[in-house]
Amino acid sequence: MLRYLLRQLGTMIPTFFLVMVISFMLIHLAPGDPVNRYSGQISLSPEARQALLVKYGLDQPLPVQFVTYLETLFQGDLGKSMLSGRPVIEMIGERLPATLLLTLSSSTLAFIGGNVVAVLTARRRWLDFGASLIGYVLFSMPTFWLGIILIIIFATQLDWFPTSGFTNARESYTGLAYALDVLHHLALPCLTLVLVELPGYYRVARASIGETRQEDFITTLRASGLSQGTIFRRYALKNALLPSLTLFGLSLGYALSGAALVEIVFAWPGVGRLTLDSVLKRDYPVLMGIYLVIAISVMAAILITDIVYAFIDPRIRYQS
Amino acid sequence: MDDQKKVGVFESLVRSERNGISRREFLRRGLALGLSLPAASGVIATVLGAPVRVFAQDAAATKGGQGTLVVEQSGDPVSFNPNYTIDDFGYPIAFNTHSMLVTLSQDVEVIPDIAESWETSEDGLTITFHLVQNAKWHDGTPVTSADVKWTYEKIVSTEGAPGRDNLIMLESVDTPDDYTAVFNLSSPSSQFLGFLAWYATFLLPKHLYEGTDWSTNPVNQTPIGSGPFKFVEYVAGDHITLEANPDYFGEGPYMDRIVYRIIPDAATLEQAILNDEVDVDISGLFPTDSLANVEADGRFTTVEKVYASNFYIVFNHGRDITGNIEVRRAIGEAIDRAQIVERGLSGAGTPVNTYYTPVISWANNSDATAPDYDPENSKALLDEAGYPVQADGYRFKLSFPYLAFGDAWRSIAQVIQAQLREVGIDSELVELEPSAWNARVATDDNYDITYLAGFLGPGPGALKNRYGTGGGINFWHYSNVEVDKLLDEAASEPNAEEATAKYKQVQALLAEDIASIPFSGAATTFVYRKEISGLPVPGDAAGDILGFGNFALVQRASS
Repeated sequence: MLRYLLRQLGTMIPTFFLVMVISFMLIHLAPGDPVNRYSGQISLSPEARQALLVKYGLDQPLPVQFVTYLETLFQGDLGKSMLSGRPVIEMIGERLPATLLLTLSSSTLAFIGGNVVAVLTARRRWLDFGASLIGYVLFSMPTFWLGIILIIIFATQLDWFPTSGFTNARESYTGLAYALDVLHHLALPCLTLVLVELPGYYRVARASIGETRQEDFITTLRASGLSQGTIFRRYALKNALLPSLTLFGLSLGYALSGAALVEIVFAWPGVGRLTLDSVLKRDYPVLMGIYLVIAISVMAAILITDIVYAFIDPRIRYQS
Repeated sequence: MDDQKKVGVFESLVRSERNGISRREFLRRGLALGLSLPAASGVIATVLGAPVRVFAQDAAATKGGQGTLVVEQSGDPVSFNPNYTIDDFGYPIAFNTHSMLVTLSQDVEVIPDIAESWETSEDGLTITFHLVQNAKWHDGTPVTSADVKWTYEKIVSTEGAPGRDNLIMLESVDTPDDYTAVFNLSSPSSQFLGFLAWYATFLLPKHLYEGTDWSTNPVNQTPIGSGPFKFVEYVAGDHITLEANPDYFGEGPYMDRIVYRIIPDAATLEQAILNDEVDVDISGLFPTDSLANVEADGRFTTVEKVYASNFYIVFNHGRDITGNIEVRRAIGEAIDRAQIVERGLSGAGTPVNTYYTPVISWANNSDATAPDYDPENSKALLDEAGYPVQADGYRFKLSFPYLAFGDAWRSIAQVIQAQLREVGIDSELVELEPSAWNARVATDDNYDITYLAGFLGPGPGALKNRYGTGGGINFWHYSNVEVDKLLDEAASEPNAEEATAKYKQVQALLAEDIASIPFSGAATTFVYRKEISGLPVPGDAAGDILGFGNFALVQRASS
């Protein structure tokens, strides 16, 4: 197990560097001169342009800029925003609570919901047909559009939930009232994401249950005289849930990157919107910081998923 | 499937940005924030006279007490130092946290803010400002002429400060006493006061900034100003909260708190307004197509805001075809302005054919106009110019990159393309995100035509950046020595009337050269709850005595 872990970690270090190099190149490949953005001028005189390039450290060749970036990175510094001059770590940090609250709650609910639906409908033909149909419809629905529809139904018409935002702007709640207020605001964006993500889990779980039920060991169990229900609950289910667990683990890796579309529709103060703003403003250090955080969290999620997998599934443990 | 939707979302974000256009150039939503501001006739009025703002005598008796006002804010501010960088989302907030020496009324006139009066010397080289004597910084320190001196000398001495180029003729500020500031100019300027009242020229506290880097000073995150409201908190991506400043030097404020809710999407904003979560939208984000919904509702006031901004077609004067004046004339005659306003702008605008904005009417030369719509003559001109219709049905094909600022911008480009095809000119539309557009038109010079919009105030000096040789927006190689000469003379002309006459001559030359094709003015609609008054918006007197975005006089009628 330890060797297995070390090997995984070993491949991660080069992967991490590769991701950083590619992100850095991609960001700088985006068309447009960032100093035009920073200065707000369409055309700059060569002298003014040069002065700005020097000011932002963009006059150096790209590899030099990259090395400089790595140097500050290894001192634990993600740098400062080119526009606001604020530390990048702070700008990302202040967005993380809202992001994690939204993505973790929705992923978890979608994971549980998708599996529950798959299990409940697995052995009932008509239910299975209905769930598949609804799943297709939800799966192909644009997040943005679904969000607005939910706002119109649940906020405007029924008045059950607030339209958007993280808290009630007219009040300054603290303690429990604050927590409840946040949950109240979380409901609709979370529901939107659950509805969009749930069909994915459902379909994976459904396919996997179907497959497992065809396997030889199930036939053997059936031949031994166990009831269908017992076989399903005790043996088929455990095996069938493994693939959707993988999916869930990977989705946690992207939890930090937020959900830009839903964040925009619900004015949710998450990392997704910060990313989009930074792309449009060509705020390189903020973007690099976000990519770094995402890269690390995705790799961590893969590692943790592998470990959990090994715990649940003895086959993997023995192989390694 | 999702991609189409995504485009919609990005649009609403992009639309809300000023994006890479010149600092003097407010595009659409940029428009929305800025266009209204600036000023014009005031330049003349104030050079000659010295208006004084009169406040209610019992001002001190009424501070706060009227609850919370929730205001739409469509993006995150960069910082709360309004002077060191371009920041259109910080700008409206700065009107409440900070003061200016002079500011711009909704009619783009220069009006008093912390300077209650001022005089300009005969030779135009010194301007003496008299400050109000009861102004305090939010930390209790009095505002004095030392702050004025530090702020404006800092602006003109800092390379890259957005206010610098406009005020560059400022040599020094003398402070004969605590409440008098004398501005010494190197040359007279007919545009100085207007620019002083416009953008990135807010008064900053010397005692907190002196000796520090003003781009990283922590005060930028927790600003101390002298405006009607004090900064309380900023929750990134969610809201900015301000509270009443009981020591404000002017009348008001009446509201206890202002909360700017950051809502980037127009459809969400509409629902938030209907659900009583937002009281005021003067950002211009509210979707034109949905106005009927809020008007029918009965709880809201809607008021049209016409910006001092023109949409105009820009030619690459450095290319053979578009460098030919007869081709430009033919293109001008192919443009049906009424149709662009109706189909491209959904009616939010008016046809405009002058090179300056009719909104600042005293500076607009209404005789100097771009060609009128005449498609038949347009075809004849093109035939004569040696561009007959080819086998494919077109005379030639133009490359036409345009800015990805949302549905309206796309529709306008499509309408122009269709109108040009009517006279046998084909064009290739390319929608580009601002930085990419900037790279293609300005850096790579790879286009034939495109189009722009933007604030043309605070005075006609704004023409220089667009039509002067080497101007910050003049990426299209327009150059006329006579225009350059007149622009320089007008800018340094101490006599306001003569300056205006010269600017009108400039417009005549632009019309003669068909330097561009202005086709429409820009407008938007503000939406707010009926019981709210005192907003600096059209139809409310507050806008005549307060700067754009200043909520000192906002009140909520008890209902």
